[in-house]
Amino acid sequence: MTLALRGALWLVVYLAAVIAPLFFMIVGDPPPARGFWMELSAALGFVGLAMLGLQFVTTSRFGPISAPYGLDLVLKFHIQISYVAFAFLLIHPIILTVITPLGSALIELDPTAVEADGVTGILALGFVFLIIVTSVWREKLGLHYELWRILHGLLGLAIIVMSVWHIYLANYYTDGPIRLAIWIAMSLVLIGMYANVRLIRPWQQLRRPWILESLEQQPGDTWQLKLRADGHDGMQFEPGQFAWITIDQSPFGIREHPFSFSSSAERGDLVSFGVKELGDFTSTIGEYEPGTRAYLDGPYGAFSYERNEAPGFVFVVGGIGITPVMSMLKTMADRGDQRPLKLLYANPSWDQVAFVDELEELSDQLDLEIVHVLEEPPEDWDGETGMVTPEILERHLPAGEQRHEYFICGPDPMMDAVEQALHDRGIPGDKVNLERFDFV
Amino acid sequence: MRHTMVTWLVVTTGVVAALAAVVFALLANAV
Repeated sequence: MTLALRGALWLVVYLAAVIAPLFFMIVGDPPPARGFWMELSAALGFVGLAMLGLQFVTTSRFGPISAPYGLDLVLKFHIQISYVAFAFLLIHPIILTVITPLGSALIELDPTAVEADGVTGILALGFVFLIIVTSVWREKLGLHYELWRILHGLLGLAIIVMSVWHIYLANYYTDGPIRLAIWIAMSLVLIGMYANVRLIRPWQQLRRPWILESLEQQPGDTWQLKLRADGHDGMQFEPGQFAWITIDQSPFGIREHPFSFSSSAERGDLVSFGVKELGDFTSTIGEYEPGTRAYLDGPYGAFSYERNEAPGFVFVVGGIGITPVMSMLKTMADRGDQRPLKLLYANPSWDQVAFVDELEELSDQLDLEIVHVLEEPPEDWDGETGMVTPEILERHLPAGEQRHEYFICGPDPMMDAVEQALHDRGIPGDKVNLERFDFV
Repeated sequence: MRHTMVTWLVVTTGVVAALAAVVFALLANAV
């Protein structure tokens, strides 16, 4: 089955899972209906809750789901669908407020009139609001990534517990053994998905440890982290993909971070990653000693030339965005690939250009042309300067540009500008591949 | 473009789910 077909199939399964609770509510011997608005409110509550429950699935890093789309897209879906779920869950009590005595009591702010199921519902909704706010404004709130992940997990769990309690107290659609069995089975699937990330995958990683072989400092506050498989055959990955790394800590710990492979996919037992010092964990990366134990969860991502075959490739990258492209170039060199390649590589200044020597070597082995673009060039610079503009693309895009595949990776503003410029040049959208590093 | 696709998937999911809720409410009261 092709990846596109599998992707479409998973979407249908997702939609079915979202709507499934509605079917379960009326299966068997349903309770009497309470009017259109009351039932609509209940339905929206159940559908919103199903979406929230499925959030455990979209972050479960379940291979068959993330493979067709790429984990970055799955996580983007995870973020955006949470707004939809929140809207549904918000409309649920609003309708009740307008049409029921319980709602009227809420309006008059009489706490004694709010029954227990109302309290659990309000709490669940409050937790949903909190989980969104702490995620969207994590950096503005000064929340460290590790702390945020713990908080995110706890709030997620609190929402589910509070919502299930709310449904139980409301006691309208949970009657009968069939309905109860279905609710328990659905809850168990969700718990299983969560256990996959937190228990099963770490357990698998524990049996496949890695050793830090070397840490090499590159210009531009960048480190190249090289890991050697310890007693196993390593990891098969596609060039351009990424993995979650846990270093000097148990894989059951919370301190794991996603980084792109920078090494050739032909060597699964000796892998490298490019890491830029940006704060948090990345600023202390240089402190680890060779020999330190590490664990990998992966590979993930769909930013790979292997998935997008073409007669030639164009890479437009900024700063640390070079990392996945290094992996693709090295793999192509190892495989003796002689298709035409163009690399537009943007950096603030020449002394911040990472992997300069390796790129020079690669251009000898490949049909590769490198165009450096510097914001602040040295005085004797006769190359491209400023940002990657449509004019720069015009000067350097190869003949037959419509048939090439494009890979863009770097800061968001650069990616947006280049994507727009390529669109304006008539490059088909499905030939433009983007990798955003800020998806978590 | 892949990222625009996600937004479409989210919108489609939201619309289908909302319609399903309306159909449910109508059916529940019709039975």
